[in-house]
Amino acid sequence: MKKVVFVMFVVLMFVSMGFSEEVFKDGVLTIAVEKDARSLDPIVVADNASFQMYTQIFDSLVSVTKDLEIVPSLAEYQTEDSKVWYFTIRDDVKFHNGDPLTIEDVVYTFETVMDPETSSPNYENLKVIESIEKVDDKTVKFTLQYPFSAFLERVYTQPIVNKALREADPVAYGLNPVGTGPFAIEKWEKNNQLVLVRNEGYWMKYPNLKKVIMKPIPEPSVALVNLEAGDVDLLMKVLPDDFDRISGNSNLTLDVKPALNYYYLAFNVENKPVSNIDVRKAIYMGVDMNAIIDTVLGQAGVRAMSSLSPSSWAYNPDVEKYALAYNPAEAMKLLSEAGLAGGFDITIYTPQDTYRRKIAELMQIQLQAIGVRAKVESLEWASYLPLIDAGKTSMYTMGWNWLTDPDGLIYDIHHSQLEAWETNGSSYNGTRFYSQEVDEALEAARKSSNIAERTQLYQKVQEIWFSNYVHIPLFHKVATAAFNNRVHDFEANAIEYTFLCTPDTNVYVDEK
Amino acid sequence: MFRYLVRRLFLLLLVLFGVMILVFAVGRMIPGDPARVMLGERATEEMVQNMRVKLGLNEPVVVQFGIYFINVIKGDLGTSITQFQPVIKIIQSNFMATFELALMSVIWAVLIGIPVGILAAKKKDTIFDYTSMTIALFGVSMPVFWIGLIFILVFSVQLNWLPASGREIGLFDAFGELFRTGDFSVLWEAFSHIIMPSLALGSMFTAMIARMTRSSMLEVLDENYIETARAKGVKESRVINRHARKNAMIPVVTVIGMQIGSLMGGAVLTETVFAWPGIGRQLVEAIFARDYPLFQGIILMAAMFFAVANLIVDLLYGVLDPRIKLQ
Repeated sequence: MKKVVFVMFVVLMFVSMGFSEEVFKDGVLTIAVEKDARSLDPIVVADNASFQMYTQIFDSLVSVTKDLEIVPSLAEYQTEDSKVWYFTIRDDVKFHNGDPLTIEDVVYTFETVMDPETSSPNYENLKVIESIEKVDDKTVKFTLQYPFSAFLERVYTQPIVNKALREADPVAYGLNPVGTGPFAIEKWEKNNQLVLVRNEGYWMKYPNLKKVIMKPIPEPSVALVNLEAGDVDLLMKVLPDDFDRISGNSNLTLDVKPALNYYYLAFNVENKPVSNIDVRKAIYMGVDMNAIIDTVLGQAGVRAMSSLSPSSWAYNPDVEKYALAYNPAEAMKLLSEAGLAGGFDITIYTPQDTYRRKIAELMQIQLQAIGVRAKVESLEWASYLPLIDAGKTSMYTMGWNWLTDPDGLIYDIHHSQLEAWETNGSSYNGTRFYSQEVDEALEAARKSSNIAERTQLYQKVQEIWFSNYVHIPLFHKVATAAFNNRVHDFEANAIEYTFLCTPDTNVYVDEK
Repeated sequence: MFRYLVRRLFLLLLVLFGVMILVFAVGRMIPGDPARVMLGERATEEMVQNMRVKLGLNEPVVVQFGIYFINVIKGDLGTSITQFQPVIKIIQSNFMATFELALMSVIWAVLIGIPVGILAAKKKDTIFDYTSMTIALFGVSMPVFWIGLIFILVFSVQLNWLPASGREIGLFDAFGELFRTGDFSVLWEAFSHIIMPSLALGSMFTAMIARMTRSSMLEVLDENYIETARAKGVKESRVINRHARKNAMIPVVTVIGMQIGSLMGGAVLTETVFAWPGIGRQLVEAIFARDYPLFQGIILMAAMFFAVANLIVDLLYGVLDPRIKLQ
């Protein structure tokens, strides 16, 4: 009898083990990042390094799925005309210190960002807000300056802070943030590691990761060595040169996805000689851009034909016809017709990242053959941006990225900035190309909710822009991530964010 | 002696003041605007101007310097533009890491460089001499980051003996742990992380020390008083240890003094390669971001270190060679 019971017991054990494919919930995920955050206060900083870190600690009113669709997060939203928006917060949200989330926290967050005194870098994203009004204990009303259907993507960029704690000491709050997010801060050793622990009472779901450690490792090759050695489990950025090495490693997974970004070469159309459209076309024809992009980026990107990628609903396939094939003879003909048979000197300005610098260098080599004596100047951001603002850069390379709405993707880089151009003030668009049609189309598309109408307007913008050769579109970069096979439910995504515990993800790591 | 010290301290303050002016002026001359950097690509002119006013950057440069100088005297190095924290706090939290690194490098240099140099001098023109001096030539010529990457390749990737980067626990903290709990593993943890960066950083220094010690030793061994000692029948080991070594050390001590200062301020490349959380990395990022208060503060601190190290070296001369009277 005892034997029978024993055997039944053993059988039961094995059967139950088969059923409970339990996700290991005590895992520690170590991530190598390029730079440390400047501060963890989401009101005073919005640079990518800081964002990737504080986005684990805080929530916004809305969130996104893996496919970048907006879904409610801290609040449900409602609007009739896209001009007045109501957000109603959940009842069950608590900050890491136990404080319940109140509507005052939401109002405080947005009011502080909108206050010019704060100098918040996120002010620009939210300046469409005209007024913020608390309706009741759970609801806030945003009135915008104009109907703006893509408003939610902007709301996503602003996490909600704890009013009481931040008001008391904003500087300390940036070192020791308290949010509502899936992970709370345990300790932050600057430039060494940020250690986050699971928020056991997280309202959205139970985060699978017990601990997350983010380590700033500036050298990509050293980060890769750490990944291979197992000291780090996830790399958010991989250089194309290392793709094969990672794919060939049976312990590692390489994930590559198209990303929503646009890298371009811009002309300042007020400067001679590129003020002449034929000169711009000649420069375009003088380089084999497809070959250059392929050589420099390889698998890390695709040649861009427009400021929107083909995956966008507002992409205008007609602008592909403006892509000029490599034709040095024709280029020289155009130059001599423009009175520049003897060639000319010009400087191609680029920031210091490898891709754009290499592209500029290859362009320089090819342009020599058509008599364009190009110099390449690769500058760090602090020197680079003011030069563009001052109109001193006739040719320069830039990049831009956003979520999915075309407004966020192209409004700022195509709309004129007359006032800034006049005063050499800072702006996002250094081309000095003014087209009333483009401006009006962008403004109308922003205020419309009708997809068909917006598509038509955005297509017009692309048509005018690329037929005038204001930009030479360079590439769309892919999002890359490399991780240990012990990491599950993690994917690279089109906006290159580190999604660890979001509406449809909950990353977990196998036991070591 | 006391008067010498007072005079030297006064000169030190003068030097620091000069450094302050120089760094301030050069910093302001580099193109670029911290407000623009902080506000990023999505910055409008109005926002940038607002921030400049807040940061006091619209005042004339001389006024800005005056304010800065008075604050420094009061012990306030200002607030970092990019990190919003007091500069002193940032330096404090990153200082130890760089100090450890510099200290370990000096220790390697002294532990390896001096004995190798002395031995090479004694065994002049032997295989040992030639090999060690060739290796030293490598150490002096190869860039620090290259040496660092080679170390990582060999010891982390191929042999898997050492972690590639980072700093889990400070050396001094680890020693503290050891004394309290007798736990050696913590010390090994600290050591295994610092060994490669400090060797890489110290490679040039070690090589220099070895070569200097050797040539200095050779010179001294040629001196009259050595010949006298030998003629008097003094044992060879005594000749070296008692008479030669101390005098040979004088130029070496000079170099050590100069190097410590530059190690403190310049561990940037090593810290970048090994992701070492020191002030070198903070300095580079501060310069790129035009974070004036932060990089001014770090450079000032490095200058102070340099000047103090040199002062100590000068005081040491009196100990090493009684002929050198400090005036």
